[in-house]
Amino acid sequence: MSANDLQTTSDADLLLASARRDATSFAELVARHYKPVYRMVWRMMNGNAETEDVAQEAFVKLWVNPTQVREAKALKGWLMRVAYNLAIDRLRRKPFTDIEAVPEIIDPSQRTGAELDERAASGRVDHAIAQLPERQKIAVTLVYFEGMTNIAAASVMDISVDAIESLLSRGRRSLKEVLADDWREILEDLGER
Amino acid sequence: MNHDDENKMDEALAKLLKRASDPQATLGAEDRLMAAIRNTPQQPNVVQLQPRARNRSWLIGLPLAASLLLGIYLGSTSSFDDYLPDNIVVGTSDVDASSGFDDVEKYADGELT
Repeated sequence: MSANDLQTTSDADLLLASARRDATSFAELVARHYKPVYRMVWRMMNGNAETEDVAQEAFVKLWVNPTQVREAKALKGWLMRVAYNLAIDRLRRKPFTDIEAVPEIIDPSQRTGAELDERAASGRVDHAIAQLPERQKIAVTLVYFEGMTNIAAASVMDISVDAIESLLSRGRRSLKEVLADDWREILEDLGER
Repeated sequence: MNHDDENKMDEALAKLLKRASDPQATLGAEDRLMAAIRNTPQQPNVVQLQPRARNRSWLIGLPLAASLLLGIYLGSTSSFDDYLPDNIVVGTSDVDASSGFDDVEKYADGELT
């Protein structure tokens, strides 16, 4: 199968081919779904270096038995859910609660100049998200950053749609509180007021 | 925070969330993943079926059937009558006792209430 053929092949066919140990087809699945899985885990683990390990482990679980995904349409959700559970396990074993110790997310208090550039603004927002309680952070990540529907996000987190709506609402409120002091400043600096 | 501020903050939050960084996988992450994949064996898809143990529960019926046949045979030959006690009574102990059905006509005629 050529590279062009692979790009137009459905997830279902790629899964079937992967089940026949076709690593090339699996590589196409990786190309399609690795980034969102990585981003979700990155947010969950506050950008910790173990993000890559967790994302990799989720895909290895898929490779070991591709037929365990019953509906190919739900493959992205399946991968997100596996990665979510792996990240939760990792966090319970070794919680990354000390955000100051995580170098990947910029701590706004460490900015040097008075002016906030775009990167600093991003860091500030990242920092605010990182401070959210774990489940609120995941809900916000899945819905606002990964563009998942509330139903899909609820399925990933194995909770009800009502529960995810509640988490999103509390997450927004928490973010507003955290950013309340300087949201005007951030937007002014970004020229978006 | 008043209502106006609340609305402004909602808008601001939507804008700010768009400013959050877009985490990029480290260079070569997908290649490292595929290298791990190539070194990982897959779980076999063919499930080895074990032959099911043959059901021989009907065998338990053989002694029961033999016992039933023996009982019928012995009963029919009256071989066990000698073993019954002499004072065994088979029949109604009180011949005058109302048997129910016999009294139906008397009830109907009003002799009994």
